[in-house]
Amino acid sequence: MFTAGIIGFFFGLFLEKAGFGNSKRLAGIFYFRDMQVLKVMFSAVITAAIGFGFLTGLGLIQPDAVYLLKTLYLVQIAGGLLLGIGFAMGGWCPGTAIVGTAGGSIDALLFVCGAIGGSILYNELYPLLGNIREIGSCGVRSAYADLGISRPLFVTLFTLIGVCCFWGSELLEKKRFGKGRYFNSPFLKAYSLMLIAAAASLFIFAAPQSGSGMPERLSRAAKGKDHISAMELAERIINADKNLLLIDVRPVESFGKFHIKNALSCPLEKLPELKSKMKLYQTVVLYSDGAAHAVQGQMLLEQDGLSNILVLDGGLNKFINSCLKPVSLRSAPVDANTAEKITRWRKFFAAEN
Amino acid sequence: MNPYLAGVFLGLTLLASYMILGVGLGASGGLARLGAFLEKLAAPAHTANSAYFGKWGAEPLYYYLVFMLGGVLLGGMFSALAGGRVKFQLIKGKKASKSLRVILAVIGGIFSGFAARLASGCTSGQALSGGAMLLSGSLVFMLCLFIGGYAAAWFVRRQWND
Repeated sequence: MFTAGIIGFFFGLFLEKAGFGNSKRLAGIFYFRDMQVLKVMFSAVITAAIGFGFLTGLGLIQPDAVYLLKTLYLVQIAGGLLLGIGFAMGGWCPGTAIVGTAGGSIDALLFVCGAIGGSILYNELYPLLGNIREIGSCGVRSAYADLGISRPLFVTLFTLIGVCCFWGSELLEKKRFGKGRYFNSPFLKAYSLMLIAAAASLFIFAAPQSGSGMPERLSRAAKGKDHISAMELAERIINADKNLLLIDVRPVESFGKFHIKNALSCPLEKLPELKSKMKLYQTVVLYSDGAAHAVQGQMLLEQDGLSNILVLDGGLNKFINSCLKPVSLRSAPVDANTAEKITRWRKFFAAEN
Repeated sequence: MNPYLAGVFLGLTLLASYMILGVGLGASGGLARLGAFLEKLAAPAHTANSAYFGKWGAEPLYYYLVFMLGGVLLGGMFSALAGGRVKFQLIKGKKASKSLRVILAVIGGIFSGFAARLASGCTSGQALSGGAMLLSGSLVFMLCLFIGGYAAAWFVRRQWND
């Protein structure tokens, strides 16, 4: 908590130093009067994106150790538009409004009060929104993966666009108001070159198909993050988890004899055909009788850039043994809670036998 | 301060947040929790039973985003004091009406507060943090923010008239 406060302190400090404690200045971007917001925000996002690339490339941070927001297109589009409107109207956004209040601006305080009120309003209307919120929900999605390009390439292109925006902003301010003091300045030239060079050097960290990336991959496996237990899968299938796609990679005849309910049949060699479908789910679980074929499928798909693939731990054999074997036939006794679960699982998965 | 440098420092602060806390920056979340706290004071049973605020339990303020918000306030105050930029004022265009500015500030706030809860983030959380992580939805959010802003700006331009 305290650390969050300290980080917040620097957040507020630099927001204020950036001139964001003034609503007139902030709103200026929407009238092409003051491009400050573009310069600051773009610089911040580019710096962080490049920096994160270096941190992960050097192994100083594990990519899955950070919390990433999920993508839910409907609410993010609607929310973005509405927040933009609120920004143009109020001249603030939540973060800058706090800084503005700290500087004594009355309109900032009014905005903050309004924002608190808006949050309460959301709480009241929340039940009415129901499942609308889930429309366009796709889990955690990286823009570069969705576009089918590598992260370094995306960051470099993004940086190039940013640099063009910086120069464009300075030129615009110069032509319109005689400002734009950084246009053609030594600083801006050096800054632009540095950013582009830093972004481009991220290509050094691009993992080749085999070799590097292996320590990370093995660490994931050791932590159990690349597979799912039979019991967890059983529960998620019974609960009709919409974010999970279950795939049986055994031959079609085996699938026909018995398969886990709600699984899709896709023999191992045909897995590449389902790649685009797999990208739509938060989690894809592969299973075979044991684990060998499923793991092979997982490795190949991960080499192709998919990162949402899990393997059923122990395969179908373990699933049948842990979840479907009658209590009376088990060598070890089970507690009442588990016994009740087993009854439920047998009813759901073994009924059609 | 040079805007580009300020941006770089903001980006570094964001990276520090990810490295140390494992999460990005946020502002609207803290304000929402203040809202939950206030509603709890006014109507404790109703708030505890609400589908959204109810999830935050009996002490909505005991959450890292609230502490971060406190930090933002102090950091902003420190920087403003150090720069001699503290001024008790209603920022608006010189010729603009005070009441217009007041109304727009409040309504703008309401829209922003609601929108941020809807999208689970504002400029700091979604656009800045999510955008820096190159998340598809967050980048789309950022784009829509600018579209919405530019669309609305013309209608409310009078508040900035000099």
